[in-house]
Amino acid sequence: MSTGNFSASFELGQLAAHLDAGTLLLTPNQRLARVIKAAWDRRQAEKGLSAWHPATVKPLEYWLREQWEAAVTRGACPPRARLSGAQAREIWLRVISADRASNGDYTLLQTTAAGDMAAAARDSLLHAGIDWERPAVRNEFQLDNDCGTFYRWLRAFDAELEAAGQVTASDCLRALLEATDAARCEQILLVDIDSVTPLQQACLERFCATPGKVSSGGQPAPVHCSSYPDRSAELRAIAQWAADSHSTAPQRRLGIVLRDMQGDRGRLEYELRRAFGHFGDDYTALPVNFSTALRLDQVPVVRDALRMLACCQRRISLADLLGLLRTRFCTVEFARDTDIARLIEKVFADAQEQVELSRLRFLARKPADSEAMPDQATLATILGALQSLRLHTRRQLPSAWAESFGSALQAWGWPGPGYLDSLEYQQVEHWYQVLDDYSAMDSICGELGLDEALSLLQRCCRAKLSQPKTPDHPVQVLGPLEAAGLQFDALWVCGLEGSAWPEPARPNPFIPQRMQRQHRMPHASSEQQWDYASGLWRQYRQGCRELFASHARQLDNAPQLPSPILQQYAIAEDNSDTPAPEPWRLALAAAEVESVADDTAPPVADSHAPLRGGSAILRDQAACPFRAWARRRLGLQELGQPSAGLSAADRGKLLHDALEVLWHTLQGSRQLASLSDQERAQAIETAVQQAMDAVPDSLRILVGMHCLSLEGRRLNSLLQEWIELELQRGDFLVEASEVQCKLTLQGRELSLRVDRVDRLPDGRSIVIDYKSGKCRVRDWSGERPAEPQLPLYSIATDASAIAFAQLRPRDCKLLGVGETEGVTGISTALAKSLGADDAELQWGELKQQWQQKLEHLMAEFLRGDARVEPQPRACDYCGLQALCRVEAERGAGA
Amino acid sequence: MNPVVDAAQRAQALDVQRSFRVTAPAGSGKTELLIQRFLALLPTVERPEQVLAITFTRKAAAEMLERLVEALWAAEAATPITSQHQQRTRDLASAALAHGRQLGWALTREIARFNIRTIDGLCSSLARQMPVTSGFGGAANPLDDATPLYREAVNELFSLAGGSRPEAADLDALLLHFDNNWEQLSGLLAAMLGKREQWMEYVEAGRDAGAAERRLVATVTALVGEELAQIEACLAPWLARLYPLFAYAQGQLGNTVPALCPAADAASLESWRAIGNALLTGGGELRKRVDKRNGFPVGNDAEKAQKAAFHALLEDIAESTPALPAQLKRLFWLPSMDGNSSSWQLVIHLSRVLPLLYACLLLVFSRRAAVDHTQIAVSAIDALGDDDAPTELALRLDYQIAHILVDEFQDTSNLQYRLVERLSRGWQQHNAEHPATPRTLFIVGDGMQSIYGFRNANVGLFQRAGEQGFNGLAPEPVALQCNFRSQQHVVDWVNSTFAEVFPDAGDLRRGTVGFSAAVAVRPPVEGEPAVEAHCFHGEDGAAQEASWLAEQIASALAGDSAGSIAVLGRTRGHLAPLVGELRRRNIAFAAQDMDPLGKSPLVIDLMSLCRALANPGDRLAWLALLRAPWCGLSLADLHLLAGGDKPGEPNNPATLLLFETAPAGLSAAGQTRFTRIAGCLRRAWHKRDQLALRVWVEQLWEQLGGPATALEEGQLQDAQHFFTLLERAEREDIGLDPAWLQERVDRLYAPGGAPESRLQVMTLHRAKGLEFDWVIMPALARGQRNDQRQILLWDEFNGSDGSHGFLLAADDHGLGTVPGLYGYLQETRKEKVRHETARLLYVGTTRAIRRLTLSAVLSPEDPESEELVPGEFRPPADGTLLAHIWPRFQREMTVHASMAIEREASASHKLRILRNPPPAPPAPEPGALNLPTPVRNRLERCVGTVTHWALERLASQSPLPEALTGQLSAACEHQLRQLGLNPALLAQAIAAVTANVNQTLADREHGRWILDAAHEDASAELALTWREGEQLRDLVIDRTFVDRSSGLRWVIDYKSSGPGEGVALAAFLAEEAARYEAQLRSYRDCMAQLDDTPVRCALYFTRLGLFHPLPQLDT
Ligand code: SF4
Repeated sequence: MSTGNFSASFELGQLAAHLDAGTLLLTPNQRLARVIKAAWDRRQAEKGLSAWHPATVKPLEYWLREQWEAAVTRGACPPRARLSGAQAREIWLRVISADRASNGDYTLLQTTAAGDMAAAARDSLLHAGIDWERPAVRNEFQLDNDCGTFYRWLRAFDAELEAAGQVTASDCLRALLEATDAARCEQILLVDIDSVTPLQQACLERFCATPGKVSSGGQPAPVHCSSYPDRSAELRAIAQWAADSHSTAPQRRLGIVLRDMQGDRGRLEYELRRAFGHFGDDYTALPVNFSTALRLDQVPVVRDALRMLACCQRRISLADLLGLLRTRFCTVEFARDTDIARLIEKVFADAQEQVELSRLRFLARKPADSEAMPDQATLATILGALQSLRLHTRRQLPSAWAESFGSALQAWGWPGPGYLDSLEYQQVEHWYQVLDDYSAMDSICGELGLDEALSLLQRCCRAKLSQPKTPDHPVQVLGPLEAAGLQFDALWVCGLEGSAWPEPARPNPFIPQRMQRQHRMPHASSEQQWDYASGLWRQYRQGCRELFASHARQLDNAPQLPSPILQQYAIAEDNSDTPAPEPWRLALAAAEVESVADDTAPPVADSHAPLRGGSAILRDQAACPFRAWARRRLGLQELGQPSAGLSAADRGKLLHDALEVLWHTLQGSRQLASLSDQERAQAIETAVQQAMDAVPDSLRILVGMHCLSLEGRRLNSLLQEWIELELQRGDFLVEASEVQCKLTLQGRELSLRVDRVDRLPDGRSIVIDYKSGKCRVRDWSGERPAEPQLPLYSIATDASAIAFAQLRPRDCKLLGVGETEGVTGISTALAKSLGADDAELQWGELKQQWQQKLEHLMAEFLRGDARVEPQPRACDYCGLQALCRVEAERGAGA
Repeated sequence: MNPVVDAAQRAQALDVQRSFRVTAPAGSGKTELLIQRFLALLPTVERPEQVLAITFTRKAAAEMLERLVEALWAAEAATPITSQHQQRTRDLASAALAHGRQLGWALTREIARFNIRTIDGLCSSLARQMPVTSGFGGAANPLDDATPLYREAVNELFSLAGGSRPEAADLDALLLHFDNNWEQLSGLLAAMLGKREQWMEYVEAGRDAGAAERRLVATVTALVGEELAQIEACLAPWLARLYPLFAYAQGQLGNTVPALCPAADAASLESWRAIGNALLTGGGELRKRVDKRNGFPVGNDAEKAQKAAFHALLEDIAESTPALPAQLKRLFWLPSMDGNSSSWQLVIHLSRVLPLLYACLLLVFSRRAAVDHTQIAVSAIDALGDDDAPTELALRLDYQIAHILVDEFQDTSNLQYRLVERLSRGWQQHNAEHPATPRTLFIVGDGMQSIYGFRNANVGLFQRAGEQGFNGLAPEPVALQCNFRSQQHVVDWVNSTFAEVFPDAGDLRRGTVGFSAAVAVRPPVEGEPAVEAHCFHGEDGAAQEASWLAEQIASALAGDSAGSIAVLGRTRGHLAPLVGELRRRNIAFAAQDMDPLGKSPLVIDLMSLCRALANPGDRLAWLALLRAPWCGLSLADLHLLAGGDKPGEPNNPATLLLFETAPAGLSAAGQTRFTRIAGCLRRAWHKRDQLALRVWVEQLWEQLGGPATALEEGQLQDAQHFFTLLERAEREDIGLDPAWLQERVDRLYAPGGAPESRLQVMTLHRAKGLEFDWVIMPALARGQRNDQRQILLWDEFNGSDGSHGFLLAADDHGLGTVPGLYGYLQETRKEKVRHETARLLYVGTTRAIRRLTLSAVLSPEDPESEELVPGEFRPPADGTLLAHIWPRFQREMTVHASMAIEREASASHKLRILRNPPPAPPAPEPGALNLPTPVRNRLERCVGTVTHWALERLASQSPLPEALTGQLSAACEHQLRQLGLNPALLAQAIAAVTANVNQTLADREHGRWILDAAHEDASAELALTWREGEQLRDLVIDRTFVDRSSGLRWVIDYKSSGPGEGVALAAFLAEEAARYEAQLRSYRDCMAQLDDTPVRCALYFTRLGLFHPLPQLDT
């Protein structure tokens, strides 16, 4: 027990005497009990004692439970198993889904939420001392659908408990009332307990004629109110206040009450760190305690454990996978492995939001010759180990699952090499506790399959609040309830907007509202909310020497009123805005930034090997030199987004393959023309089929057979449409498909591929490139031709024309230029179609111009020219913005 | 001040016995009216909750509440009042307070009781209060952006493709229609899910495919019927003359037509088209003349006569019904239901797939336990029950909603209309039975300000509310006329201008609004022009416009007479030039929602930073870190680091930066920078998941030198804004997820300067509800970038008889041989957009208090001509704002001579480098090994606990039983069950505990001696606090007592353990003794403090029944 200056300096006041007299003190919560004990301990120590019996102070609920335990032991109460909250919830869930199955007239989007509310409702009823078996009560429930439905659940729940000999915590109190023996009478005092429920009251009275009440508080403190433009300003001011008063008087006990703990905690902590100067470094030195407990499933070490276990299922989400690849809680440091980049690129290339584990195992496999030691763990070995556990085949009890999960985590070496900070250390301990709670579900859930088992584990972690044990600090950040009864030198209550303090009533939807009002169930009516809020307010004032209260005048730019509780006080309007942090502004003021021109990468090393990438290199170079460098030489590309169905690339591939096969059989226009419609259809059919057969299995699995078969049908009709068009063309022979050829530019060999070359009767040839998108002949013109592939090919060969075969559904056409008269779609009016200045432009010259331009682009590329100079719209589908900084520097020009 | 001419209406509107539908044009002070009505209603109810006010935005709700409560607080405090209408508010407030006091309300403090909600707020509270009925299950916190869920739902749908469900075939048909482009279709369907409130109720019912089709047919039939009726009405005066001539002509052409003019119903659509054809040219103009191709040969005089007659008819029509062609044109886009036309089939497929898609969405919702706003609204409405099975809401809420006020009704959607309908169900009947205490509706809106069509707002509904009311409860119309905002000249200008723009009467189905004029209360401001129109042209027209306006603004701001100034534009793009100009001139202004956050340089680099931290394989992001100004590595160095020209085996920069030393060959500068950056990153990497997400990234960014790379201090705010996103990501349990972040930064806007600034720049939509002394509207002649062909189109059909339905069509690729639904929807959509832009313009112009400046860049008819005057400009394109008021604008505009504007040539791309970055932080210190030992063997732990527990009980029993039996043994079993052991384990555990205890009890020499209740000051499970130096420690001692014979105090610790396989007992004992010695020593020392009896310590092994003293601890 720490002697830290917060708890211990609690002033017992009149409580001391009671403790001396051995009176039992009961508190509303654990926190206050702990504080009182600490204060008592200090008192004893100051008396010079060095060993003593601890103070007799306990939380009310806890003490009542002890009484029940005792009664059971005495045999005065039937020995029923008391369910934990988590266990009870599981039963509610089961009851509800059973009820849905039998009276299937309703659906529930959030069954768990309903379960929690149902549990709360049942507790409220018990505590209000309502016997729902009474006909009158039952009838009142039947009046509307929601309560009526709940009533069915309620009965079913009771039945289940009865059958299994189980009880909830609240049932225990009920049982205690019916204990068969008279209990001994004790001296009991309730400390700072404003209201006890009828049930608690009855129990207390069994033990003690009338429990006295005492308040730990003193005189109400003066109140200072202020308002701020918005929450950020408010929290910043509070942080500053805390830092200032702490630095002037480090021993002062400061309290900060966050009305909206959930929403504001993060920001307040941030502002506190800024104000106290514990930002990042000496992170743990911040002299502040936060009362917030973290949900165990959210804390990193457990979050990752759950991700690791998820890898036993069939697939895992991309986000979770990335989470695992950067986890600190595995013996393997994945980022250390250069190949991880390649793996991740492949995974993204699949463009699936959910990654199949089988696929992942395949991709993670190291090449046999990899230098990784056989015994050294890698992602591959881990996944292998998991698979060999074959957990997905099992059905077993939670306790057995707890074991299995243990071994699965072992495969990952969780929780890692073992450098945990103290929080993580505690969280791991809590994890082991959860596994116990989880095992305790045996009797509740029975045998489960992997998926159910995992989601149950999820729920258990979610339900487990991990309250970090930290040294006791002078500054306390607390929720509204937790602060009540504690003592501070100064307390600041924040977020007192009229709309939220008192909170709007939130009656439980499962209990008739009239009943709730009548029995004054908690939070049921605004009257009660007011009493509740003003009760807390009183305790705050009595618990400190100075009380500060504040509210924001605007929340998400809607105006806010002060809480009516502040009505009687003058409210100081603070208008300070929230400027950027001081350090930033200083850094910026001191910044020396210079702009340099840096747009040349190292030249491409001379070599006789042909350049990889072929014409695509020059396409990129033309679009933007930087892009060519980054893509073609550094192999960079943006990691893609998940997307449905076949990728454009795959569809293009299929199209090309089908056409290749088709013309391989058809040879040329003659044979095509000779075919009957149905033979033609047949030919296409077969071509498509062959293309389909060539699809690699990985792709089949990825997109599914159905998608492929549809693609087949689509290709079929597309080719039909296309062939119609080819039929209109004059005579031609398809001389070659998917041809390779080499071209040397700037002394560097470039290997080209082109889809098809047609030979005309007059011996001339047309080079054709299949495109599934819209094509523009203009893409061949300009200083930097956007589509250099065909021009390249034309200068590499004797081609007399080049043409795009645009295979777009409902928009199939051949468009090209050349010197081949009378071929539909191919223009010989070169200047016109290319928008060239020289009206007389001839094919020969055109090819020469191309030669020059392409030589020029090639020269740029080879000498490492990487200017950021995109052609119009080039950036739209590039994705390299982060590196080239074309956008980031836009403002810098001016 | 001019008199308030509508004072009577305003007074009437406060009559709490009647329901009203109030038309409240711009500046008519409707909010005050709403407040007053609300106050006036309070005295008529038993609980304040019974008065429900519904607003359009949370802001509006908050403002209403604020003004309401302030009125009450003021009344309570009796603060003095200054003006007349304040007096009325005050009286109403006092009355409300008085009434409240009688009923024991605490109005001034129970603020939360005021039932002022947004539609969303109202719906979620209804859904929350009816978890089962609404099918919702629990509290609903809707996602701000549910697109990911829509996507997931579509994937669910796609996973059914090729399956056995009947809809699978339809899905295939759709996929094929969209060229098997799943991604595209997925996007479309996701978008449809986002707008499903428009179609759900229609397709929902159509669960079986046939029904869906029947519905559609019915709707289209009704639609065509209404259209034809309208056309017939317009043609009526001529039909008698026209039809015979038409029949004659058709006869000449060899077509047979019905003897009588066909009825106006879908069946005879074709005949009507034929009539249309006879009158209109292909271009849609009224024919001027006809010949034998039209069936009017001139072979003989009779024929000549017929032709002449027709010509005469045409002239007369042109003369007196110029609007006719526009009407007739519609004939040619009316959809034909040609069962086998591909486009119609497509519609059917869609209508079958949608219900399934919706089912998939529900599945996703429950899987993710999250929903969107629409779902909440839908659930709420379902929860209210349909008319056959209404929900008894009063029971649920414990109060009866008695009065409803709705603001901005012109912007409500069908769904919202239906909500009000259901909330007010049965009121008419109630009012009939209780004429003294009627329930009332109060609906406020202004059709002319309806600008949210793109958000499903349906201006027709405001009209319907008047014409059809709600379940027979029809609110009486009240029209406010007074405009308290704008000075008379502005009001007059707006009146005369928009009288031309809006039709005289609205059309519910076509969503047009009739014009109503306003009356100025503010007297005219003389001596300065109220409304100016300016025209710019030429090469740099836009630049010129911007600089001229900026000039004007600057000088206005210089003087202080101008008051508040606003620049309003239709889109950000339209405002961009002027914004740029203002920035260039350093004119301070507040611009909400102008610059996307994602385009801020700091944010771009922060995104790279997050990408890198989130993904050690994102080479691009990691290299970007090295190219950012804080590092500014040269291309050469990057090339080396990235392993350039090594295709197949590129380096992973993450690995290099985090774990390796700078590769050889880096430039000297590169070396230094690489090392510094690596230093920062390593430290951060080491701390990952140990700091709050925001702090983690923010600190790294600072260490890298991020703040110093800003171009100006304003940008630091962008970074702050970004970091609050990280905060949110952590709060919402999303963690470091670049995709999520990108999604947000693309949608959010950079904080826009000083909000209090006198000069504001914003879009027209944002300006709604605001007012400014001077309003400037530039670039009025600029059109929208015409959104490319929508692939799916849909619309709601609101019949004039109140029937409504849903129309949906997919792009038929223009293949349909007959006009399809798609074409029709396209046309009507165009029309609606046109109407809405007119209203948008109205909203803009009515923001002005004193002065309104309109300006546009126009292109001259003849570019060559020098001195241009108003007549010589091309009219603005259809669809622009200006098009609506062109004639007037043209008349009044000042033409500015075009001049060239010189702009600085855009600087070529440079690399910025921070020369004085912060030093690298110290290398992370390797933490100490620190692992909790995994907790195993749960069974033994349970046995141990319960054995201790049992022994504690036994210690107080005398006589001591011979064995664990009866009540205590039962209690032990209970304890074990409490620990959640399953039956199998439970049996073992019981056996073990019993064994332990019995073993102990059987040990006459020690076991029973230890438990003997007769010992002097003996205690079991004794809790003590002990001060060891400055440390306080809490101890629990299993068993201690003073042995009478020896006079020694024994301190004993129970152990239920035993030697493991093949471990010698002696070894085991020694080991245990060693392990627990320290613990027992502290017990001993603590006891020694309490009294001075000499202490002896021992372990007692229950399972072995073995007593093991620790002599080394003897005192
Ligand atoms: S984004 Fe634009 S500028 Fe940057 S590399 Fe790509 S094309 Fe070039």
